[in-house]
Amino acid sequence: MDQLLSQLVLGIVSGALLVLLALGLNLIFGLLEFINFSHGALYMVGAYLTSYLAAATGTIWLALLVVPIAMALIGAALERTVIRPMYGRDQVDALLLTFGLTYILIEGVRYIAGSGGRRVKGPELLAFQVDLGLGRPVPAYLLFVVVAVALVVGGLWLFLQKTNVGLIVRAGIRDHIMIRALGVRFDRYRTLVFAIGIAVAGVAGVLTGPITGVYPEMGADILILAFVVVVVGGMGSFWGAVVAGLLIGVLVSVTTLYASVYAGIVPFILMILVMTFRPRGLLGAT
Amino acid sequence: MTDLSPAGAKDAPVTDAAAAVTLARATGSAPARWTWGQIGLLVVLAVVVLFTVPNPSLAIGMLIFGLWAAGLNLLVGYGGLVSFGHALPFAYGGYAAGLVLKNVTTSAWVALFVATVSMALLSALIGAVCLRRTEVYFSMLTLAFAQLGFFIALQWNDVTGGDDGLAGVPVSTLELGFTTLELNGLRDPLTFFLVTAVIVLLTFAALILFTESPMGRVLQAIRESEERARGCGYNTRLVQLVTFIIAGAVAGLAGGLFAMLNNFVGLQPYWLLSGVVLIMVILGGRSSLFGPFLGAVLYLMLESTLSRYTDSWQFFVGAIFVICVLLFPQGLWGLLTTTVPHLLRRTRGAR
Repeated sequence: MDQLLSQLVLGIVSGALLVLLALGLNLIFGLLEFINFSHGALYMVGAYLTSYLAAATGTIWLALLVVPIAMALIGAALERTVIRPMYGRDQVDALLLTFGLTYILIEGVRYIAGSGGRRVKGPELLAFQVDLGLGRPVPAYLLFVVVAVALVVGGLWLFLQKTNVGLIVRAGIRDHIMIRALGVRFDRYRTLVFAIGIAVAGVAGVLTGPITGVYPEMGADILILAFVVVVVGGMGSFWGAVVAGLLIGVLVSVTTLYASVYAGIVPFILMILVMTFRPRGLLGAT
Repeated sequence: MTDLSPAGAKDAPVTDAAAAVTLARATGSAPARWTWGQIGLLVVLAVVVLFTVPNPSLAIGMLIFGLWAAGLNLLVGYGGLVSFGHALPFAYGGYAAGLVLKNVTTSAWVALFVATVSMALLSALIGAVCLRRTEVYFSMLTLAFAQLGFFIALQWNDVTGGDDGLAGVPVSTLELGFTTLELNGLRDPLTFFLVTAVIVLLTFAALILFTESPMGRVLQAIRESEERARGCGYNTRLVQLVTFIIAGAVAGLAGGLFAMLNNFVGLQPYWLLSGVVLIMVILGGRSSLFGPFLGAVLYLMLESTLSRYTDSWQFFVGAIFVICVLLFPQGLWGLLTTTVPHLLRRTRGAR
């Protein structure tokens, strides 16, 4: 029972990180109308930036502030240069382009940092255990990750629902031709949304570092799961991504405990079931 | 590919497959005159590969990967369905052929038959799920299936050899009635090359036949506008499913051949191999079946050359890929068949 409960906590943590990636994918898909294949690789870049910043400053606090901003700038630059020419072309082209970017980013990082991977030291401030009454104490850092993700998710939701910019973004997702006709400079919103999506992936990269360390392929592994989350939750559905992310995180984590052989397969079985019986996803719109 | 133009609805009704294809052609797809000539081009390419590539197993690999890429282009280029999981049928074909050769018989016919047909059946199941939704959903679902297959191959140690791969696949024999050939890629690469070339050419011709068949034409019409094709009364999902099955079967065949060539089936990360075959397609060009074949030959040449000089050769592959998508979305073969003649005509006209 103790084991199950602490495994549940681990599942929520890994699910929370998945949620961050899936939300970015969802938002970018909604407004820019393509699946950003380089999302995982950019998350990995964020994690590597964190590992260097943490090594230099001895803590990840600075990285938590700087890396999302840096990633937003990288995202905006990518959108303005290579992704923009893809608008108006086949949806598939943007997918392929970002797929090529993935190769460049992974190999680039491998060239600079080596393929061995790096460790990231967690913050000293959180290097203690918390007894949640689960029978076994939980590292405070893991709780911090869950809280941080909840804040980001909440902030993103408030941004979309309560601000004027968020209103235009939501309207653009519905009908960007109409938005343009109303005189909104839509291209800027595309850049903004891509930058936000990448920044959120950057946050996930910062938070992951102290848990798993960083390695060049880390993005490729998690990207597939983020895709599964997006599909299971329902494409374009904000809360669908949150629910599906946590669900898959917990499901994988619990399966690891009881039947570790199947842990890698479980998310895909869930996805196949959802696609068969509810193709629009758990919370997806029709 | 949401059809946003309201004009689309008002167009004259398209009543049959031929008209639908005229539509597909008009909106800029495969140039018609190169259809059957592609077989001749392939023969020329195979001869060139045979005489110029010094490493025989690389030369044979080019034929096999070329077939694999051409099959994928049925989905990507002709169907507009970008599969990110085409490593799955290739790897499956390898395991299926390898296991048959190892445990049942050393007959190449049986091994390749099992690899192709069982992959076709499996593709029907996978396709039924992946084609529930098209476009980006399809891409993500195929990728997820490839990942699922990877985990199964990794965990099912007793059958697949897990992480170490399936080793000790015996040399196969090919009964031809009048004689029996031993297919040993190491000792007698020429025989292996010729047999592979014949199989690849026949399959390639069958693929062209499919693209020129009424169903193949409907497939292209669906790529241009699924709504319109459905409006014409075609069962669009069925056409896409049949294409998915054919592409899967061809990849299974290619995978089986590859296992016979190496006498080994290795477990590679799903996304690497699925990506490689996709790069071949884009590099060569999506508008024909010969294009991806050329792309495969070029990619393998590039890989074997670059990897001699740098460990980061994939960086350059990625860069070339991005440049291709940005500047030459029609690929190398598309460039040769459309842009170059166009430029020539222009310079001639200027004179």
